[in-house]
Amino acid sequence: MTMLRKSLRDKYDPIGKIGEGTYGLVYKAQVIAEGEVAVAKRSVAVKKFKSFRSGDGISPTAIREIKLLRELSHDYIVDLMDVMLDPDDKALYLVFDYADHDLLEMIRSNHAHQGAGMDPVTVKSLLWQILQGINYLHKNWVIHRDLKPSNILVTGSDKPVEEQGCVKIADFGLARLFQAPLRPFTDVDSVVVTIWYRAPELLLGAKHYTKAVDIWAIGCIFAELITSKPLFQGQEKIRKGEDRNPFQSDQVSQIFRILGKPTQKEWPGIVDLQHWNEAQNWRESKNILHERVPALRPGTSGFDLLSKLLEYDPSKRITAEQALEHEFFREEPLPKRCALVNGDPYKPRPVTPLDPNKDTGWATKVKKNGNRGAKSSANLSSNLSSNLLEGKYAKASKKLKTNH
Amino acid sequence: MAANFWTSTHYVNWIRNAGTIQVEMNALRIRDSEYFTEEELISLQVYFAQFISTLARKAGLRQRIAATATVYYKRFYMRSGFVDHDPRLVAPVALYLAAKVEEHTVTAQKIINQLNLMYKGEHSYPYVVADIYDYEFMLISELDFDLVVFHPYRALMRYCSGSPLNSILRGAWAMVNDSYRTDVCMNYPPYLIAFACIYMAGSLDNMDMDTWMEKMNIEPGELSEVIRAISSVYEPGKTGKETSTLQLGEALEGKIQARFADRQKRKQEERQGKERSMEQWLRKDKGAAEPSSKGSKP
Repeated sequence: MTMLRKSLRDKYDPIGKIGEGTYGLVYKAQVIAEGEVAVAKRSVAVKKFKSFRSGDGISPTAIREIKLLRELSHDYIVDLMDVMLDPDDKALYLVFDYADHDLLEMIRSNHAHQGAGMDPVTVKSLLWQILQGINYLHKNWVIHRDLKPSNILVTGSDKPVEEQGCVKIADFGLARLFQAPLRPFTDVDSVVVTIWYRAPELLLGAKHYTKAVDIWAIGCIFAELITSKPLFQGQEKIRKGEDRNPFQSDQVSQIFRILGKPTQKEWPGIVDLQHWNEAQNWRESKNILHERVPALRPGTSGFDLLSKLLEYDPSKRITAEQALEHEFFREEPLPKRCALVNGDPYKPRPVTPLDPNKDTGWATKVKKNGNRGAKSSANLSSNLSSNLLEGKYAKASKKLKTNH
Repeated sequence: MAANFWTSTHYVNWIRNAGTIQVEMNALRIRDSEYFTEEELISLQVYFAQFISTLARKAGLRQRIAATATVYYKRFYMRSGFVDHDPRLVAPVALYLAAKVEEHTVTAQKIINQLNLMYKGEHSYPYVVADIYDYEFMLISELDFDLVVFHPYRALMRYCSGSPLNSILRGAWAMVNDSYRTDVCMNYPPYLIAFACIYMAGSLDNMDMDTWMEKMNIEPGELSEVIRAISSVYEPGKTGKETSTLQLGEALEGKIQARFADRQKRKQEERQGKERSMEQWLRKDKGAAEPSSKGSKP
């Protein structure tokens, strides 16, 4: 990573918005190429963290993401190319290599085409790549803690052929180094991982995160890739008042309904979990996983792997390393580095045009390759948002259009 | 990362031998030495390591966080001059950032409150929360966003606990703490610093450390360099006194105060000015919107 002291604006040209979260905004941008050779422009994702004045300094989420991604480097982990500070709007920007898709969009698109499930080779290759990435993280003492389809990016047709269809695990805002934690993880951030992908031990009140929580999430994602539907779709109980981490009983009952209610015999540690008291008297149920994922017939290696990823007892749950050795990946069709077959059938992620009132600072933009003068007036208009200046902005951009 | 020190930013980007660092810092220190004496410059290194560790204790932060902060402080002044950046601000900001990185966030206000309590003497603590925020920004970028720092504590635990060396763990631990007053954390990998402290603590206890060294397959050459560097802490008068109190020495304290007082005043005025003009602007904006509505009312 080169850490040139160049301004963000000199290096990246904003195109549009691709995401929004509590931490800030994500933009699509293009690298402003140096030199005269007009090569195909490389796209990047620029994640803007809210101004550090709005909280207590630089957001801990940004710090976590930076500190881990500066140390990590792997084919299937998103590449943090650059970190930039904007002294004017006191914001922090992380620049990532761009990926056209994420699993959420891909699953939705398959869902929309009823019946046309994801190609089995694609499913197997994606799962294999996710496990490779997570195995690397776990070997480096990092737990991701927030694996879900929207955090798993997949490169698309904007990349050279040999780099298409590759998983890029993203969003390390909740990830933690787990060697010798200074205090139990759950103290600081009790609500981690969207509940649909949250492991049963966490739902039942476990205080410490282990690598096994990531594996559970991968199991859920595997099933969802096959059926195009989330496997355990519980209703989230909104936390309020004192109880920052309420018992998510609906999510737990969704899991029990499909995997059967766990017994103390198969999961001895369950008795130590705070919420087991409440759940242990619920009525018994059988494991009907095979009914929910009919494309994986019981007895096949794929079904066996899924069951092992969704093992109740975290101490018995398969590890990423073991999963990669599983029979499923040794038999035809073999997993591939390019998960997409017959080109890229998925639409690239939608890019929302920039809004001069909301997209301030670096992302203020008039027009592709627009002149800097117009850009700065747009900047003014976004900051002041007075009618007069907006009029000026409109005029400036009109002028640009006619000039073109 | 945490599993592999040898590919970490700590090792790859920051560990260099003392000579190389000296050459790199030469221009900076020449500028610094126009204002501070050589002795004072050494004090500024040693004293503030102590300062960070005291502030950490008062803010309820563990030694490990203080150690990370001390490394940040040293890395910062590897690239910036003491004449340009007040160590009284850089040190607490280093701690503030380190606490966040080590997942033990404290508020800037809490740090400032502690500093106000610590600076009860002649000069009150001159900075406020907004300064902490500004410098956090500056510090993280001077650090090139390399935030993960490895420490000797883990290696120390691994080699001492549950072995005959368990009896010297406490002593060696204290030596590791003291080692942050030297530059060994900038020059050597943490495991070597741990070995040096184990060797020193064991020798003090009349244990046969040479046999241990052979058994551990440790090169004596490099180890003795580390030991020499750490021992300098215990030689009176060489790298500053044992600073159990928070006294930097009035002369040096006054010098720093003089150097940064004007700058700080200007900055405060600027900040107040900004707030004022913001208020004025808001008022004006309101004023501009109101006349029409007022105008319609007789």
